Amino acid sequence: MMDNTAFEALVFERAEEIRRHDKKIRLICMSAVPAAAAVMVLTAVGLDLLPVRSVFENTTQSDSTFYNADTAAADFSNAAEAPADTAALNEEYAAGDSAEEFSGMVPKGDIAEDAENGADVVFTPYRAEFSEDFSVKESVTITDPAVISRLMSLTELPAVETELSSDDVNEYTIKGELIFSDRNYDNTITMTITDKNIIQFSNGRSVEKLELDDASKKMLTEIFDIAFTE
Amino acid sequence: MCCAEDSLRKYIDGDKQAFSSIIEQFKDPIIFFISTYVKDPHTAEDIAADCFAQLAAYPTKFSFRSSLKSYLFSMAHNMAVNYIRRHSRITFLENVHQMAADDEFEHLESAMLADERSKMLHKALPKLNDNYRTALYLVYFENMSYSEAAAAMHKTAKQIDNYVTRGRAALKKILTEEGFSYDG
Repeated sequence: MMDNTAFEALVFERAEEIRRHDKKIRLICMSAVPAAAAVMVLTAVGLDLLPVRSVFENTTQSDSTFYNADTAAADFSNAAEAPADTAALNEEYAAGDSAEEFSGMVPKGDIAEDAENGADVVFTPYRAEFSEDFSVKESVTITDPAVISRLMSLTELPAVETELSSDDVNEYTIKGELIFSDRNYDNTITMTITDKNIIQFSNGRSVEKLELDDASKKMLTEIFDIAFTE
Repeated sequence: MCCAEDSLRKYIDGDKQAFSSIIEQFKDPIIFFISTYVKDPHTAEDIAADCFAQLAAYPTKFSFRSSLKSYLFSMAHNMAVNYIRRHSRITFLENVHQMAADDEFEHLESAMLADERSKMLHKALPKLNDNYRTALYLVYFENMSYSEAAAAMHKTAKQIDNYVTRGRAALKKILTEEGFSYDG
């Protein structure tokens, strides 16, 4: 075991890794919450795990930070081509601003109008510029209001970090587990698919179960990369 | 020694050295606490490093509304649980004796547990469920108040009271079955 000096050196090394990692993988996903339906975008990154940071935000919040439809729709494969506003956001990220500081972002322009009209709103994930070895695998839109409301009510916090593990135990037991926790790991939400139709949310204080419809199952299949067995 | 919260404030203000005192104050207790969850002392140390690294990376996440000690133990608990979840649902350590083979951990254990009674109690803790174990550990080994433990576990003080009461009963049963004379 390490002495304090070596341990401290390791701690600071990892702290720096964490900062870099957050900048690298931080994706801004946004949730517009029209009256009738909530939409959340989760973006799956990487091949096996899903380090996703999502920011859910209500469209009615007024003190918004700029985030426009063009930016959302842009291809950020080359940072140099990113719109100016994206560059500004990148700078904020590079300065180490936390995801929470972006929680004030609300959709504007066309996206806001679409949201007000009740349309499903998809926000393409924002990607920071330090992404040479980083690729967006896929975007998945969750449109089931019940799923979203459960997620949002259970997580309580605007910024969540997801971590995926799948575990094929047997046919009707646990198929996948999505762990939401805030950045300080002091609020963990576990979403467990307990069988082919039931998804269970637990925050350690309460447990809620939700029966899945076909659309939700499809969505979860995409997110978890698992199969619902019959 | 100045209080940990003051050290963190200094660190936030740019005094990197101030973080040393936080590590000095909490490193061993945090590692030892995590070791009640994971079976390998080096893994416990590794998770503890992650815990402190989170604090070092984002010190302003600490709101200063609770004690830094509660905050760190809360992170440590959740990181340990997350580690177990990630690693194929590793069962909680059945027997802390497994770790005693590590001389350095044994040294840490001796430093943390002053007497044989404490060692016996500590070795029995992994046999309890998570809430009982954590509550008992924080209250009896870390001398936290119920409100501090509640902050660390995101429970109410009343819940901690219940966990401690039930945990003690469960612990008593375990120790009695093992032939340990329990008068608490």
